[in-house]
Amino acid sequence: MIKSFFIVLCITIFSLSLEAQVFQTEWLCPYPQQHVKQHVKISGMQKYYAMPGKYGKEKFILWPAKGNSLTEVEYMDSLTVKKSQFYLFSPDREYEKYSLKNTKSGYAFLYDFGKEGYHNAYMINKYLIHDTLFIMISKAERLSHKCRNGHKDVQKKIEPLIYPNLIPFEMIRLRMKPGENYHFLLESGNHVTFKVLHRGKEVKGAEVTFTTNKDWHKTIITNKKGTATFQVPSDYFPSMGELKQKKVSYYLVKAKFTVALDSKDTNSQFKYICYTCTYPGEYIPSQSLYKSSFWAVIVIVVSVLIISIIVIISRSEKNKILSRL
Amino acid sequence: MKKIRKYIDNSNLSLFRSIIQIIFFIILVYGGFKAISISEKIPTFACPYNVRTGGTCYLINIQHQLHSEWAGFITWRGISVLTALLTFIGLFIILNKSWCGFICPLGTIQDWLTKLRRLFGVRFSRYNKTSFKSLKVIKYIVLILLLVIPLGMSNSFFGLPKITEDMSAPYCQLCPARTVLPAATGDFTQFYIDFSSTTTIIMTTLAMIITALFFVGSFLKKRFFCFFCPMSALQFLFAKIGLLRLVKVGNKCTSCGNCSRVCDIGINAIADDLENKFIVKDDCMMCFKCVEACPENNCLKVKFTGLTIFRSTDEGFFKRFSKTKDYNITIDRKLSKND
Repeated sequence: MIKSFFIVLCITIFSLSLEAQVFQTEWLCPYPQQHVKQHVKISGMQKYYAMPGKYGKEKFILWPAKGNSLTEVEYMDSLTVKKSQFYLFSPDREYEKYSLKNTKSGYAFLYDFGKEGYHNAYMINKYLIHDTLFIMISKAERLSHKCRNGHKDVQKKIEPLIYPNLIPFEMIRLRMKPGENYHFLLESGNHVTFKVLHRGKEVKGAEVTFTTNKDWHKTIITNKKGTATFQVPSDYFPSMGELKQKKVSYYLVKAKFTVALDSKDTNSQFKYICYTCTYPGEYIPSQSLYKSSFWAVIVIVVSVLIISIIVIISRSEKNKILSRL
Repeated sequence: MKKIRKYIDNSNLSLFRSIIQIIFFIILVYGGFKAISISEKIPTFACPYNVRTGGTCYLINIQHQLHSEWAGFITWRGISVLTALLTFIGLFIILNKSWCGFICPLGTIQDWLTKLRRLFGVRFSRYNKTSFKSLKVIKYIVLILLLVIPLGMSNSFFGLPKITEDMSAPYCQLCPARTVLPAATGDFTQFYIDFSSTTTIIMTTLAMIITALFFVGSFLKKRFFCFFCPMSALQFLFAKIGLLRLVKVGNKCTSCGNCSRVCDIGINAIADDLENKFIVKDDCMMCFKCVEACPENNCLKVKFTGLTIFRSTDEGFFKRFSKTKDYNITIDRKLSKND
């Protein structure tokens, strides 16, 4: 009697912990824990975290993480991601090498940048609870670009890529038009649109939530085209004397969609599949907050006036000397 | 054959140069509208900050390439630095510094500002010998800085802290091409002061002051900015291996000084130097105005792979200067009359 009670208790605890795990969001976190920041550095124009590698070649990092919000992040370790599937695709849609390692900055997904364009990283976890299969897809798009490689065919190379046969549920960030290029970094005030796709087809009615690292969040239901548009908030306001205007903030977008399986399919262990897809990213304050054309015009006008006055005075001095001669 | 030779020697090279400059200005500044992209290694001032550019300046390439840790240079990055440099040298061997005189779009804008000054009848400025000597060093200092700063951003020199990333492509941040060339396509977005950090405030303010200097300076002094241009300094390092050469036959020179007077940069050595055969100086932009203004037969020659393609002749000189009113020579005549 006691033995069976103990078994039931264990099963209940396990199932409750699994449920708790499922209701937590999983994502490939683009920033490390605060206390290990000294082991990594922000690199390049896109402000990605990287670790110095051999011969000066950097290894870029994503940290598998979960939590209820971006302020309550639990970084996963090798045990928790044991059953996870990881993928990394190059802009040419080819598999790329990556490694999962216990680094000084925590358990991380490490990769090199090869070809120019967006590299897609995925982490997939599946949980079966009662009659529902939860498929949690954590996606990250990372842009590789070096100006020395040129800027040809930018629009073609930055197009979002999807893998419907392998990744059943996807979320893509539609590129800003016009003007998104290799040097693009999302700014406060920008309107950013996400498209939700199930096996390559647009999903209407999916729940999409945009959260910032200051816990601002908004949920939108996708329209006919499967899109949800958010305006990136401005939630970083430096004090007057502070010159950290390009401070990088982070956002996480989560899409959720449940599919009911065909009732005729009696062999299936579950009746529903609940898909979630997360997509993290960086954004900076709007350029209009720290760039001023007005002051540029003032500087130019004042400089022109000063230079002209200097030239006029020096010329008149020369003329005086010449006239004396 | 003699007729062709005579026709070329008597021709108005300045007019030909102006036409070439306009063609290349259109290609390099507006070429992007028609998806033209010449290369990324060509030493143009086809500034990449101009979205519609038809090429890319080599200086931005080299600054990005040098932004690497020392160890990086013994890998793929070293190869890319080397190949870019070799492409640059390769093209430079063919054109030598005539790129500055005939093709550089920033140079073309300066020539147009000179024409504008003439239109207004404003007197032009020249440096005196002392200023000329001291100011010409600036371009070498700028060249060294633009090579060292990117290295200092990735490496620590003598245990000093690394240079801030806000100094990325430091020369480009200050170069007037960044503001002027996009403005030529109607894009004024490069005119700004960036208040995001102390470094960016200093750099963008300096850039605006340099832009103002560029306009006023180029209006009053011919090819004002070329005198400080690090590209000119970089090109001069390879001038001796160029196939295009400016040759002077010293014993035919009468030291009349016409060549130095018409020189947009104001190089006196071209008149004074009777010893050296190859007289491309570091500030020379190979516009060949000196050859046009030389009244002595075969004294100055433009040679390509040893073959004379243009030379000074008395007939050519009188033909050209009886038609055109060259401002410098007119001034000189007036001055000599006063003397």
